[in-house]
Amino acid sequence: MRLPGDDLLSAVDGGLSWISGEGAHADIILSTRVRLARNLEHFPFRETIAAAQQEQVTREIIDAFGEASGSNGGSARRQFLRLGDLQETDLNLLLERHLVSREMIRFKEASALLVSDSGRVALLINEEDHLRIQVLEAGLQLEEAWESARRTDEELRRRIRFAYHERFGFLTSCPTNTGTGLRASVLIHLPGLVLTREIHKVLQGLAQIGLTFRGLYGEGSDVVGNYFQISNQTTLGKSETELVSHLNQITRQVIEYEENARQVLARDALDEIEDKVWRAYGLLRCARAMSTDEMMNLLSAVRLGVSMKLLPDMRVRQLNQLLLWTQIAHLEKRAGRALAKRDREHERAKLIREILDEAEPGHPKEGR
Amino acid sequence: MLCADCGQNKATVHFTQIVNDETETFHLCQECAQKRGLKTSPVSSQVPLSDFLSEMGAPIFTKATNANTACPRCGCTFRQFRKSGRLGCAHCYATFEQEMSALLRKIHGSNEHVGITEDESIGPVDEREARLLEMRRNLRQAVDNEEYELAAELRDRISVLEEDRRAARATALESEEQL
Repeated sequence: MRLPGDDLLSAVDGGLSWISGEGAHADIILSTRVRLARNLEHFPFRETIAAAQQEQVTREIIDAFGEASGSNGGSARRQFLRLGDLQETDLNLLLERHLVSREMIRFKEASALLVSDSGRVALLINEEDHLRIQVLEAGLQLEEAWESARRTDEELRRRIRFAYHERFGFLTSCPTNTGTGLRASVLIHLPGLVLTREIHKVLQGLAQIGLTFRGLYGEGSDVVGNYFQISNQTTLGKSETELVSHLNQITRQVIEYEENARQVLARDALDEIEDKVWRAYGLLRCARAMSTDEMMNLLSAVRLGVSMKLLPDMRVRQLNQLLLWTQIAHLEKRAGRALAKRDREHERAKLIREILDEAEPGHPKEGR
Repeated sequence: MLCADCGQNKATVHFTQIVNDETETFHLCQECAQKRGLKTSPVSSQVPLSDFLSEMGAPIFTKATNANTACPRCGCTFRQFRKSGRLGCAHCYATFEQEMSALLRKIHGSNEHVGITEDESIGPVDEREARLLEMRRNLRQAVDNEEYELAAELRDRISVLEEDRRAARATALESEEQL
């Protein structure tokens, strides 16, 4: 095991295989996430646990996980980080990468993160529950992500006993996670449905069939840039495979709605859409200062333009880089210092131009 | 439809309350709903559990438990749980079993776990692995308690087991190669 997680924090894509943009429907689905909430049998939950016990929990999970991959040949590289040892920028960097939660940062002294080199499998330790097994994949890969989470859980269960109730299933600190402890989600980009004003119907429909939606950064976060996280609302009474395949099926349906909405836009409002995406592209390409909000909105239009083949061909990887590397902590990490708002906006605009230059060297070409 | 409370404004909030299996539906205007302490933000799916619990209020209780009953293992009372929305330990689920059973049904529409069970598909627990973990745990405790003689003994026994495991793996690998 390599200590501390240098790669994770120094590499711009550290722990981020999903940014590659590989995987099905990657232009619409940014990433797929599956997480399992677990608690160790003999330790109290976060409400009543003592600091020394949290340390024991951490050790037991590391031991069990170490043994688990040891028995598979043990070559998987992984990194271990204690959140209490990290600077604020690094904590925010991990947050922007969805590798830690706000909850863990709030209680950072006890929290730790164990992550496979690719970032596909992460163990979030002493979160609201003792353990959250999290799998992140590029594009729409719910079945694959669930399979990785299931295997990790199975390996750990050979070595540690999790809190379990015969009738209620796996026990969690908050009863909204009890049972399977499973939360599966997709991060989906739906500008077509927003522009055609169909989005509310879709979101209402989701609520009626046991799914829920959030913004880009989880519970309580705003919907920005037309990114939505769709996930299962309940965790008890249905099996893991039922929950995962239900979400998979509905996600495919939402993708279809989104594609239909884009066809409607292309048919009825092509001039307006073309103008909108080229303007967004022009601003990103030329602006000298850029706020997060402005960028998120422009980037949404550019992503739509690339997906609808109205803009120069660009890889999904570059679109994902634009989204992530320009977040505050990523900019600060890159600059090697804290940045005041104005500095940040300059740095952001500069980085956007660099990424776009790499995507399409020279000046923007004429459209159709 | 007009508000059932004031009879003046249009009823825009509709909610159903279930008490002792009897359902009652109210149609209220925004203001009267707020007077009754109902939250009516449009994205209500994100209401924190503690709000959810306090809105549900008394119906969650069964007569068997009162709010001050404490979990014998962690000391958490049902009142504390209602306030924070978080349980103190796994045993709380058994302590407040009836209440949790009702609550889980309200949240999930079910209180019967379906899916992977504790022992499913993991086969027999590897005895050596389990012993190793146990001994490491004891070793840490021994070090914490400054029982160094015990710690040294445990360390020796752990390394024997580890050596044993390495040998077993090597044998397993060899036989795989031969296949």
